[in-house]
Amino acid sequence: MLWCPDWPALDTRAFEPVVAAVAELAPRVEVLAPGTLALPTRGPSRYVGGDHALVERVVALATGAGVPPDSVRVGVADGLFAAVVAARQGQVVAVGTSADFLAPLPISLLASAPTLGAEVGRSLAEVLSRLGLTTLGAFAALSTADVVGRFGTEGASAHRLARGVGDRALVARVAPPELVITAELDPPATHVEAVAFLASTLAVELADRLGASGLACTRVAIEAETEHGETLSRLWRHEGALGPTEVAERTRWQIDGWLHGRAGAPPTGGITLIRLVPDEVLADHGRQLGFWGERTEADERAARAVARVQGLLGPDAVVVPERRGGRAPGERVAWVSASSPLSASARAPWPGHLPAPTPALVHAEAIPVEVIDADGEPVTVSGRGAISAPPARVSLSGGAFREVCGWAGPWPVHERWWDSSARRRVARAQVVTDDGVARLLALEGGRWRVEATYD
Amino acid sequence: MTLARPAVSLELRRAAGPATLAHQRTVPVTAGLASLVPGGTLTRGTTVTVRGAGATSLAVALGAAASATGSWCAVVGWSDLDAAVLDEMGIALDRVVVVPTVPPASWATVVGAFVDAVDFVLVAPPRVSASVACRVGIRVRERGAVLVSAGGPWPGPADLRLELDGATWEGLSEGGTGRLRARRVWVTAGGRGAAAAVRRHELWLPALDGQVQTIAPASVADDGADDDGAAEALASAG
Repeated sequence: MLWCPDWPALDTRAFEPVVAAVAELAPRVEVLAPGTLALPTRGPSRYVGGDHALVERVVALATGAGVPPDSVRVGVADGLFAAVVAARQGQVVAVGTSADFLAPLPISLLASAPTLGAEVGRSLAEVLSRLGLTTLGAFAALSTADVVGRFGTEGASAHRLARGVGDRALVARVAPPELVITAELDPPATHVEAVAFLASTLAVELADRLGASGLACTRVAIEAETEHGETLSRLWRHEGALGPTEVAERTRWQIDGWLHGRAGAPPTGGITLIRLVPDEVLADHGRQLGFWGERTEADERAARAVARVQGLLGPDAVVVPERRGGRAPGERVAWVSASSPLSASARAPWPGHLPAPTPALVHAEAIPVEVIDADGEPVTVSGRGAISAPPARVSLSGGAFREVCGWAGPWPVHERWWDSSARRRVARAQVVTDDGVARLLALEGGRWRVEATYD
Repeated sequence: MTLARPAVSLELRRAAGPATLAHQRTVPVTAGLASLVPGGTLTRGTTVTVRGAGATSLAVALGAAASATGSWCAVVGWSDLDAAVLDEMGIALDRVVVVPTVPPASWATVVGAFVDAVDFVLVAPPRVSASVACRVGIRVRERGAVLVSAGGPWPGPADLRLELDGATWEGLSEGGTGRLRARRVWVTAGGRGAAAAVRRHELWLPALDGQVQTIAPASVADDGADDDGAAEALASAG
């Protein structure tokens, strides 16, 4: 288990070289998430001379592929969950002692179990600690029958994890061959954009076929071949199950990393074939589309449309609003990429922010504006926030002057005055011209600009 | 012997498909804007164009009631839209997706993808040909979404045209005191089909309480020559 704790969640493509480097040791490397990968150790360990030697080799390979040495954590243990925990502590747990290793550790670690799903793990850990079971050992000491009776199948698999028994769900099996999705590309693709759209189509097709057989996929192998016969195959595991969006995303990451040479050895030809092999499937327990607080059909349809547009224009082309906070227009709600994880909404008050109504259009490129008073003199604002004269006429980007029929301000804002590089002094004013258009003007560094328009 | 399968026309297939009740074929509109829209609700498959100063606010407000009832809202091609205005006008921020910039070549595909999936699609008029706009309009009709274009001329035919003019602001006083609080604006509504009759209304966009409200309806015939001119311009534009 290799874990890079500082790996940026969004910089997923750059992880490919690390995967490629570690794959030299063991063919069945599986990527759990960007920044985390797992490999079976038995064979490679014997080859390099023990688990400790293997850890050193993996660290050397990862740092050789560009990961800073102090942000690599490697751990060895029986089973994926114990290995994740061991990697966090940088430990090598001897064969057969995983249960003893886990026993004194806090129950909250269940949230990091890759096969359980963060949400399930977190809520289960919360309930268990309220029941007084604060360590994995205390949970493991319960009888399996009691755990199943109280917490159902999810509880049972968490119980298996806590006992260090190994976390491959018993029912997981190799998918029947008719579920393998293959697509040939003609002409061969040399850019990730050409593959991206196909990837999302294939992912949807895979999801449909899995759905038709009542299966959910927990691990998928994504294989690509070039016209010169080179192949790249990677295993991807996902907590819970892999949906079409996740599969499409992983295909894109992998192909991008390979094609653009970050894996060390870029292919010599274009990609001619993509194959999605569901490597491990489970019976899908199904999901009832809910009325409240759950994903509705409309949500599902919107998510599919987003995935499609991302496939077409790139993952960052689609954005969603996120409450942030700030005083200037455009600062209170920011746009973040639709594929980035949602963060908690901030609704903190921001004294001094612009009152409603909010200007609808915030101009990213400043529109220069000339503001003059009745005598034709430029309007200025003093250091104490006093305006030199009422604005009488304004000219946008050097155009014709328009009469000002109403104005308010100036409102000086002095932000981050403690930081010499980031501090800002701005004076804002609202100005309505005779065509009925209201604008928010800002004076900064002696120049007026249109900051926003009340469209 | 082979039996040729008769080609079933799209019309027939649609007629044989599951019946839809009339009220399911509409998207709700906030009470304050009901007077602008024939029947008080937006029929699914409608293309709306909004023009004039304040077009962005009005276009966003048209989607508020739909968003409040669980519909998703897609915004395509607005790179300078402030998300806070969506919030203020009543669009649920957790059901909005935005594509700020779209290359013209992919515009129709992107809008098409959202029209297939989302009830309310807001677009900034693109630099695309009338035929592309026309195709998108047909897709909107087939899929039953509502497409609203604001901020410029829509190159294709539109079912409902809203033109804003004569905006005045309230809240500013002499000597730079006060602040912008409310806006009164005249909207001329016209279009084709049920929306063909030209109507003219004065709106609060927004009122002092932040809501969008109709002030008082006035028919074109009763108004002066100025309004007739607007109606004529609208008729020639349509």
